[in-house]
Amino acid sequence: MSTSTISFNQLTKRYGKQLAVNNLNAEITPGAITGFLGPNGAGKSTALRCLLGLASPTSGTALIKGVAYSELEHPLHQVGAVLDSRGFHAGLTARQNLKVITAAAGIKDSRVDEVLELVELTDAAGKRTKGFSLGMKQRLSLAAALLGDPQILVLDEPANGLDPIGIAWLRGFLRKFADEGRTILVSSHQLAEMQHTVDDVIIINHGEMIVAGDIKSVVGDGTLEDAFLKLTLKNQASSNSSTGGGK
Amino acid sequence: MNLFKSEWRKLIYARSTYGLLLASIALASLSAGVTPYVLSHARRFMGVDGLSQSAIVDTVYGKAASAYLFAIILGVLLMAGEFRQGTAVATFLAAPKRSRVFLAKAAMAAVAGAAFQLISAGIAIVTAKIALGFYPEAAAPSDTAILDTILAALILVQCSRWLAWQLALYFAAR
Repeated sequence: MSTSTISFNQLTKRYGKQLAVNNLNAEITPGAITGFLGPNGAGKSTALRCLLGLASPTSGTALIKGVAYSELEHPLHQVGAVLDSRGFHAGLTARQNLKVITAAAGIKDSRVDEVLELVELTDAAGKRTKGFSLGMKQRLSLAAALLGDPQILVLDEPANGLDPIGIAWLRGFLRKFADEGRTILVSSHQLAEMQHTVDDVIIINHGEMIVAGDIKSVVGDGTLEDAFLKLTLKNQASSNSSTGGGK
Repeated sequence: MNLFKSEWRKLIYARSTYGLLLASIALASLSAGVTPYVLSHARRFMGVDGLSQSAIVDTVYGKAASAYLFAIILGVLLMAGEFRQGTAVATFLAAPKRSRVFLAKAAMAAVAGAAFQLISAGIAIVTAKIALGFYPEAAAPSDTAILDTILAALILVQCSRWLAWQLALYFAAR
């Protein structure tokens, strides 16, 4: 019996002729922060969208505890998600935006002020999100993800728009969350930042997984950036030579 | 039921809802309020015999149903707003079975549309009564005029809302 809480099984997603994710196989274990890394357009967001039921795989599966997201009984109690594409109603306050979600998910309203305090947005709870900075919106996204007190947290580029203080705060927050035995899958293209945050890494490029493992075994003595560049260049060279050979 | 409650909150939290409600009250009242004046001069250009017939006075009340357009806009905003604001992602994360979301929205659009029409038509009927008070020659409306108007208001909004919904689905499917 595998201990993994998130599993990608031969996940493939094709948009027309574009192969966004190609045969992705990965297992994410609890109690650790797993970095899902790759350059822009590598297929990270697409894979996460498949995992969260926002896109349907062309083939293969992306499962939460062995079940597709859309089949989860109370999805927000199991998985919290911070996504780039997520927006908030500009005319509603932070608290109102969250109360729309608690109603839909059957979560009690008292949770709203709890999560706002967790992400340190209590002072802005009654303000319309129109005036929120990018960093505040990211915190509100995180608050929304935490509403159901989930065991699994999926974050897509959460550091975007955060200032250095915000990033340090997020890192501490994720670490605490993982230390409680929960599962964190966080995507990013900011490698230098991620090196200090993650325990395990999955690196993908052009929709295909290049390497997966704990950060020490992947990085060795160098930096994550070095390892990444070496691996992606090697990968590119081999794919170039194979396509070149075919012509 | 949860999703319906969520849709209800989206509706009552958004300021645009109250703007639309005010606009629909204004339009219905204006329609009903100026009609007695128009009809009192109607003999000249429409061959209608002023306000002396019940059937003509009934049309004054009938005008109170005219704000259904705003109730339709409200229904459209329920759906389109989610994509404009980017809240659709949060909604679908909370309720990955999308058909349930659409069902809740359709139900909320029906209920809110009916409420909009009842409020705007109700106020406009009072306006019509006041406006008719300025015309002593006006005949009494038929017994069912007010009931008919309210029924017409409800049927109008639900039929046209259904039409708008079908159109939206048609374009969404493209």
